[in-house]
Amino acid sequence: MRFQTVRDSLIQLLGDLSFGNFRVLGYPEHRQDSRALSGLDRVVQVFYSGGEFPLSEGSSFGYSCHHVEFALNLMVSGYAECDLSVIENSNSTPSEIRDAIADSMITGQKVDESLDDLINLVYQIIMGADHSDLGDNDPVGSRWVNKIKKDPPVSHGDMVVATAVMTLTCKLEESLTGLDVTECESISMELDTGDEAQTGIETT
Amino acid sequence: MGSLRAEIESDLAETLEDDFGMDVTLIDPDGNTQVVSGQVSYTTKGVDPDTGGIVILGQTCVAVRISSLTRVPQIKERWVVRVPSSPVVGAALETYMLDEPVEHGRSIGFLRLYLRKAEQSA
Repeated sequence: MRFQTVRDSLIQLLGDLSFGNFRVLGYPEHRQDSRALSGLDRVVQVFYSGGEFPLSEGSSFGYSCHHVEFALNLMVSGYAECDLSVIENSNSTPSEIRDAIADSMITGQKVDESLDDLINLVYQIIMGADHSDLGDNDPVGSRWVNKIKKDPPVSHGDMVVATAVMTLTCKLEESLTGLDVTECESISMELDTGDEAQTGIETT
Repeated sequence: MGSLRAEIESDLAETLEDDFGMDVTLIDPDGNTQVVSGQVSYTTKGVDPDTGGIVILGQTCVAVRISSLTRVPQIKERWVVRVPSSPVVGAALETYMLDEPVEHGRSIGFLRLYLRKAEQSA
């Protein structure tokens, strides 16, 4: 169905325009090996979360209008931040260390700001004027981010994780194509039984 | 035999500072440094919010004896704590920040500090 191609186009669009600011799960150019995961501090994941087919906007024999809802899960994780060049320098004076501690950023605050930044980046991509088709070549109707919900930061060991869900709605044209099944060809085999050839087993 | 509190202090000195102890550097908000011996653990159990299952998380936690401290961390104070990256003797020090409430252990004479790893600021 069309929502599947639009979902994949959306993943591709976000991945193409991430420019290293975040990672998109499912984006083909990012291999998820352990080294990649170790720096995985801002992640976007796209889900098809549901849809509706209003009876007044469709036909059981032709095209139907699909009111689609995508959920974009945004996740940010991080550590605290401070000037380690001062803290870890044995020649630093107490007053220098005091200033470095005062200027440090605790984890919850840093992660929350990073999540806000990620929301902005994803929103600008999705709602950009050039991306009204969400990266698909066919038109997408009524593209709209109608809700963003942030959850409070949660401790995960010595790091903090913050998540948000951005809800994207749009309208797609769906058509009934039937099941896409390819029939196998029949192959005739002739078995040589000695005196005369006979048509024997037919395999499919 | 001394009082129960004296017994507890003696036990803490043995369990947190003797053979089990590791050097821990505590830096208070005024930039003053104190090095004490404490017990360091590197992992803890947690609940995976996606699955509800129990997972092992990296969580560095330091337990120190209050009577060994020249200044005791208070709620909402921002401290820096440096601990060895592993229990191996001579392991490099890692820098953490204390931005979680300190676990109550004051009535029995110890503090447990849950630490957040610190990265270089931009």
